[in-house]
Amino acid sequence: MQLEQINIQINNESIIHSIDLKINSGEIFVLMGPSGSGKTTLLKGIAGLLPFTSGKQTWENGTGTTGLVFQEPRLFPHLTVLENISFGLKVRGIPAKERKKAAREFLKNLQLDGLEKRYPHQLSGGQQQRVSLGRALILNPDLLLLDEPFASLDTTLRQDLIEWLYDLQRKLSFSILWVTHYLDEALSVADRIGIILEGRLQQIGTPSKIFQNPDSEKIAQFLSLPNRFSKEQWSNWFQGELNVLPTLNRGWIDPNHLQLFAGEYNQDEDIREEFTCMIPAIVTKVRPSREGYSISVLAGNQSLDVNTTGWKRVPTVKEKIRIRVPFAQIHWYSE
Amino acid sequence: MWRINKKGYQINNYKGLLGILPALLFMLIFFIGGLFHSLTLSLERQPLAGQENRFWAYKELMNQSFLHSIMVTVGIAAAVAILSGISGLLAALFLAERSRKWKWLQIIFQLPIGIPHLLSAYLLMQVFMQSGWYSRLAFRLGLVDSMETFPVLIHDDWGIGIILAYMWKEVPFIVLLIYPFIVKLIADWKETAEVLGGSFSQTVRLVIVPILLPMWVGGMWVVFAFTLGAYEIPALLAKTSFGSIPVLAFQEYSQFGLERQPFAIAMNLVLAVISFLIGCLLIYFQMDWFKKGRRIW
Repeated sequence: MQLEQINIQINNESIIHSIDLKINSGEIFVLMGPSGSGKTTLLKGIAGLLPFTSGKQTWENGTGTTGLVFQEPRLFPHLTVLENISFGLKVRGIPAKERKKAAREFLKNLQLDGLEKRYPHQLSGGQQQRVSLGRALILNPDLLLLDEPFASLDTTLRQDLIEWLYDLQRKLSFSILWVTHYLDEALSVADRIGIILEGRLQQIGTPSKIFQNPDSEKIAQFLSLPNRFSKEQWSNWFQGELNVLPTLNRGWIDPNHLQLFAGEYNQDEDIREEFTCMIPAIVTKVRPSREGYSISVLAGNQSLDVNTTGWKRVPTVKEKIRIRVPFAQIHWYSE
Repeated sequence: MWRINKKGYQINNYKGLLGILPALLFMLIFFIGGLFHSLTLSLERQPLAGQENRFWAYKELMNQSFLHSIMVTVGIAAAVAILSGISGLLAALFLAERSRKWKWLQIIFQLPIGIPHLLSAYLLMQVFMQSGWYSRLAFRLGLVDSMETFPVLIHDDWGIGIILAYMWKEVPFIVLLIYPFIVKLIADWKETAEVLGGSFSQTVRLVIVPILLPMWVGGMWVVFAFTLGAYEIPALLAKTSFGSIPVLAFQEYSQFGLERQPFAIAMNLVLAVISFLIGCLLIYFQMDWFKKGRRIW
């Protein structure tokens, strides 16, 4: 499916501005953006629930169909699991026998065998969302639109369902436009990620490209990239000119790549092949994490986050420490 | 610290019942009491009129004419209930889907509820009778050759005038009852059905009506029960030989002396039993509908 110069206005207010987007066959495209950025509006526009003010939607084979799954399962309360799944077939005039057969066969893919006669309130949250997905997928859409489908579920169930849907997608090879604000969800499923801010599609790329080279400080901020500083600040710490393209004026580094040293300065620590710098700092906060500790430090007037692995002794608050920064691990981008 | 003793626990357990006690007492005293009193009256002997048998009134009712009256009265009530239900549903759907901005239209729809039935019958008579406004208008427009050829809608054989008068009052009642729910159901389900390929009419047929069914049918039953026992409209708009039971009962009650009272009351009790049985039947269907675990909200 391809969108060209799509604009959507609601009550004379422009929500979506000149969006160009192509979703390839069998691809999972994740659309990320803060609340109110126009993600759901764009999805509803693609699904035909909202009219495009201008622009063109085209399909590789001339015409195409979409299926939309909302954040809440929205199952019809008076219909059984089987009737809910076959609802789309019923409105298309498929005979009862055929649609029931198709729905029963589809239950296996949904891991809902034996639950066909249950009503929505007799299912768990995860089962309800699977029925909701099945109801859209049984219609064999060319593009499945997911509007934060697992946002209302708890973390474990959400992760299970993401894995299940990812496997199902790889098995059945349908395309997905998946809206989410969870970074882990995006990273675990996306072939490509698009960032939408204030109704404009700001950047499209592979997950690694988006995270390593955000197109702007706004995107870096939205992605909550840690340890973001200007090139001048990095130059101060490295005490010299940095070998970075002139157009790239900001850089960020993952807290896992920073090394923390306690005690006095030891020159041996600096005998390395890679280009590094040592930043003196004071510990301001220590939080335990799954891997070890997450430590916030203050270097001059700049705050940095450092992650340590293992459960060995960690510095205490207000303790003076030093941080080693490997230059090669800094990701550069333009403001 | 507060301590709750055994009596306190008992009161606490039944506090829900205490909440509905005033309404329960009202129903027990006025409804059940009234029903029992009516039953006793209908079984009174009338030795002066030569009626020694306790069941004389009911025996007298067992004739072809009363059976015809039952069919006419129940038929008219059923027609009014079904037609009002369907018209009310269509009107509520129209108001909810097409005219949310036209608040004045919703107010116009509610106006007839405030008009007494007697007045509505009189108004209808004025406009629909052969010398009424519509026949004059049809004559002036050349639609009919003379005012006498205008279709007979008042005092007619089929009770069309009665049905129209009741519908004028009951359609707004059904609209008032189901409109807020239809607005909510459309907001909840229209989009979902649409993304699955459902048209608006399919959404109404397959989603909105089934979810609304218990309330909608309940509303129609209220209309049915009311129409079954109401007197004013058939008294004004039906022809003398029409045979509406409430009209016949009132005539018996008011025109033929005290000794005919058990007979009049027996007629009304037959209507009450019919209404009760139909109510039970609807409750049975409703329970059957919910039996397998189906829910609507």
